[in-house]
Amino acid sequence: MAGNNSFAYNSELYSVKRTNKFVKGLIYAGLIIWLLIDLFPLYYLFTFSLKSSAEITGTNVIGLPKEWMWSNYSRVFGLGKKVSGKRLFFANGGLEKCFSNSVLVAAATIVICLVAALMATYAITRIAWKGSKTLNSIFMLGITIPMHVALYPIYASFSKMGVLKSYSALIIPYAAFSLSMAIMVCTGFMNDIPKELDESACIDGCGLWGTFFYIIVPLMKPALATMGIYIFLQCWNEFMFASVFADEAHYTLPVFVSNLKGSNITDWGLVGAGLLLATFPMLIVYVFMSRRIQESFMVGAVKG
Amino acid sequence: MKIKRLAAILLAGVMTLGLAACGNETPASASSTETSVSASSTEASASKETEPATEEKVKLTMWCIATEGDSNRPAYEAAIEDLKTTFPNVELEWEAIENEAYKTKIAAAMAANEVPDIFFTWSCAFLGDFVKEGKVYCLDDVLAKYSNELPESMLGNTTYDGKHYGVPTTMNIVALFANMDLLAEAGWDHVPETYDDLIACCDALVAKGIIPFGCAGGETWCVTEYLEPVIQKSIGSDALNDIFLGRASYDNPDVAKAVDTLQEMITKGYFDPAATSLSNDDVKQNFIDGRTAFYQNGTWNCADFAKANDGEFLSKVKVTEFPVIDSSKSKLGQLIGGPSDTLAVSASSPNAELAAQYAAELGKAICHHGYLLGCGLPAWTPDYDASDINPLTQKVAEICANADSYVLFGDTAQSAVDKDPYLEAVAKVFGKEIDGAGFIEELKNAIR
Amino acid sequence: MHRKNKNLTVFLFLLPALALFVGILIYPIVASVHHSLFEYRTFTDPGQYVGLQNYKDLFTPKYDFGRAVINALILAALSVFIQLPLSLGLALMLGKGIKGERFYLSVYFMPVLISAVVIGMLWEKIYNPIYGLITKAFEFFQWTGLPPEGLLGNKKTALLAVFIPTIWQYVGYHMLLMYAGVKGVSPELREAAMLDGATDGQINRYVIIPCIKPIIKVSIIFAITGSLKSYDLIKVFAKDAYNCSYKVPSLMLVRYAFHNAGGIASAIAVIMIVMCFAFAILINWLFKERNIYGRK
Repeated sequence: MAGNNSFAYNSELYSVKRTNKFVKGLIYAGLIIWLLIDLFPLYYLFTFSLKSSAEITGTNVIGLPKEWMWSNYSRVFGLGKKVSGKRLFFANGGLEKCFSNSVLVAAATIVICLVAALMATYAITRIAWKGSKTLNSIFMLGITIPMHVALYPIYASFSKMGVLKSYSALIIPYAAFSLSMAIMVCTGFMNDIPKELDESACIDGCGLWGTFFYIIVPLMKPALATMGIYIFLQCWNEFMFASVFADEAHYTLPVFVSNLKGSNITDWGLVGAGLLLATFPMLIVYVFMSRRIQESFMVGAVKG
Repeated sequence: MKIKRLAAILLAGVMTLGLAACGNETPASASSTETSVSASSTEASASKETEPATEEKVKLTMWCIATEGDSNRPAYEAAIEDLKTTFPNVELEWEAIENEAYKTKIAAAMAANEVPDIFFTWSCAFLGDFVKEGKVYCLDDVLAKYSNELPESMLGNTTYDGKHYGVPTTMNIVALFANMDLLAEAGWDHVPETYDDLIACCDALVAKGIIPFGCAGGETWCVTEYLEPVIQKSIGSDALNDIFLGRASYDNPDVAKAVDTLQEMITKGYFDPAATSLSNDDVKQNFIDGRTAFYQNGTWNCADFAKANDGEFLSKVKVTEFPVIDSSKSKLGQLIGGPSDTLAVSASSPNAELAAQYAAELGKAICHHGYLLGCGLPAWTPDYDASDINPLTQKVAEICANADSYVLFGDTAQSAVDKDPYLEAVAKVFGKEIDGAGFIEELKNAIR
Repeated sequence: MHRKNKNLTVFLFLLPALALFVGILIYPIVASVHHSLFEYRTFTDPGQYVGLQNYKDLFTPKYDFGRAVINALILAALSVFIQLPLSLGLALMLGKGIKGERFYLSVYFMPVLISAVVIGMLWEKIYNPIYGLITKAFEFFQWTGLPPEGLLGNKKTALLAVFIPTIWQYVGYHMLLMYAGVKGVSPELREAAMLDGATDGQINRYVIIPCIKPIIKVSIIFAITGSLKSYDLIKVFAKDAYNCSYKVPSLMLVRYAFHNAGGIASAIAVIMIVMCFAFAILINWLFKERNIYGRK
């Protein structure tokens, strides 16, 4: 308690500030202004999707629609490849098909990336070997590599291997580009598991594989959610690989939305409805899972 | 930049298009196609020849840019439907992707030999690069039987070393659209026909507080829609075409003067300053809303203007060509545009010959439906009643029927390597960073 | 365990990650370095070996790559000095525990989930010189000085106008990271400081911020490398404009890669990667030094 004196002094000096209602009010005002700024895009997106092209590009940009064009939505749902003039359910290029492609690609990317990251992190942090530090640094540099760099070289090799025009053509690059981030988060979590657990497992006769599957993996469960979200954020809105590597049967949502644009003339009402339909599923999931997502983020960030 | 669509003409008129042609030109023997009677019979015979004896279905693949949101989509869908009866043995798998993404996708596919049997392409330089690499199937044999319906003049932009490599669909030109209500406010009851009149009209508009032109600075191709006609009507089609095709240098004082002409118009306040960063969609809407009196852009806008404000706008708008600036070098009928939207066949296609026959019929059918929908003018001579088409498109068809010569859009005509410095310089001209002298100086260095 | 056996096991554990990493990340980098030494006028034909000429050309007025690099650095600086302090401020305010904390948190994070196309279009409308919110505000308050071509059209203001939304979109992301850190600081520490009479400001400054330093480091690395490779949103603003005053390296990379200048594009890619690496290493090093001498 030696420092008590100096702290007491400070406390007197600043005690007025601590209870200052004005500052508190300012804080709330700041928070609420920022809140409105962040909510505005949603309002805009919603009204945008219900207007005509003319209203969007000039006559009524920010206000509520003069005429509520619900037809924008029915038109978006009607898009997709037609067979003899009929639009079948799950037709290529349709909303539901692209959506399910997006979900499938994201899910597979998450699984592959998680497995690779877990295994690699285990080898780097729990097994002593020369060069593990260096390898970790190299993996970390991967975070900084821009995806665009890889487009052509990967296209050429995928073409030779015949993986183009399949889900793997998207899943593999997405998983690779999320890997560094996943390893980083994973390392943070794994460092928190006491080494003694490994050692006792070793004494009990578990090999490295046994320790990994029976000790580490079960304890890493909370980390998986965080990593999953990181990976999801990386691949859900990705456009460039999706547009170049996939064929129509494998188009994802960003490609669907971009295809709503015409080359010389664009029907913005249609684009708005498409954007909203592409964005909202994610927002709804977010609203219902936000607590879980934030929690895993929290653990992840603290550990990472 | 969007490569704009082609342009077209038709009406079985005789047109000697001395200029079109990329690479080594073909002698543009104006094939006179006055009689289009034989069209349907040719179609029928074509289909018979292509039917193989076996019942087996052949799968063909195609890539294009007729996305769900594109105005050409209905024409593609209808045409593909039509061809099911003509080619019962062909099963077409086609997909569309947005314009910009398409350029990336086709370039990657070309490099890796992953191109589909039939692919959409822009004529001249874009297709030319692929032809040079030997990636495109020669269509001479297949197109020979369509010579009555497809004038040689429409093939110039897809002819390299005298060989045909593309099937044109529709074409478009650059035209000047005018809002007659606004012109009337400034005391004009007709569209200015000479350059002096145009300037007088603009001055009158400015005096009335009306902005004459809207041009989307956010999209450099829109600036070229203004600059290219000004250069063409100053130095003539031949001179401009030689520059675009690399046969002459940009180092030409007349070009500098033409660029200065446009810049003077900007300086005089003829252009909407608010459009500096806007997209073309915004600028077009401004024109429809009556913010600007003129709008110069591709004729693919005709159908849109005809529909705008529930058809109300159509009564106000007139379409014309940009007036002649130097009558000693240019004249009316010299137009920017031509056939650019093209279908081509991959040389590596296992069914190249069938694909070529299919592509020819498809191009013709797309042209048919696209013209009727007002998406552009037909590159193929129409053998059907087109009197229902909107009056703007009809007027453009008339302008084209009297065409003297065409120069293809600069960003389509010039090779990919030259296009970038060109567009960059055009953007600088519009931003008043360089003047005419700076324009030719910059380009004579950048483009050999 | 036998040494040989162990090495094999390590290798097997690393195999999936290494395969992905080498195949998809390392190989393109090597290819880029190689391509950058050739002309590559078309995709299939390397053309002439030109040595470092592509790198030299990049800094000539024709490509003006220096401008793009400077712009990217400005964006990175804005990220670090405006975006992150803002995120930190929000995180500290929320982390203290206020009513509706979760709600604020959820909403602040939301822009991260919305596609760049929507964000870009929205901000374009805000900047629109004819009917945009900013124009209307100037009219309403009768302020003058707004350029007639709008903030996006004016060369002097365009850079900032484009970077503001870019920065705004990810404030929530960094906030969430830092908020997580703030919440992770053990309550006892905070209470102890409070009992000792520290003010909120002091607690933040002397307790919380030192504790979340590792997270701030991660945020800075993400912010800088993110700025250097930012593409989506800037592309929405740049549309098809050539010579736009806010060009950045990634924009040039994509343009030249697909316009028959593969060598130039590869050179840009190599420079971008080197810059990203350099910054990541620099920041790591800076934080290490501080940890040694700054704390205890």
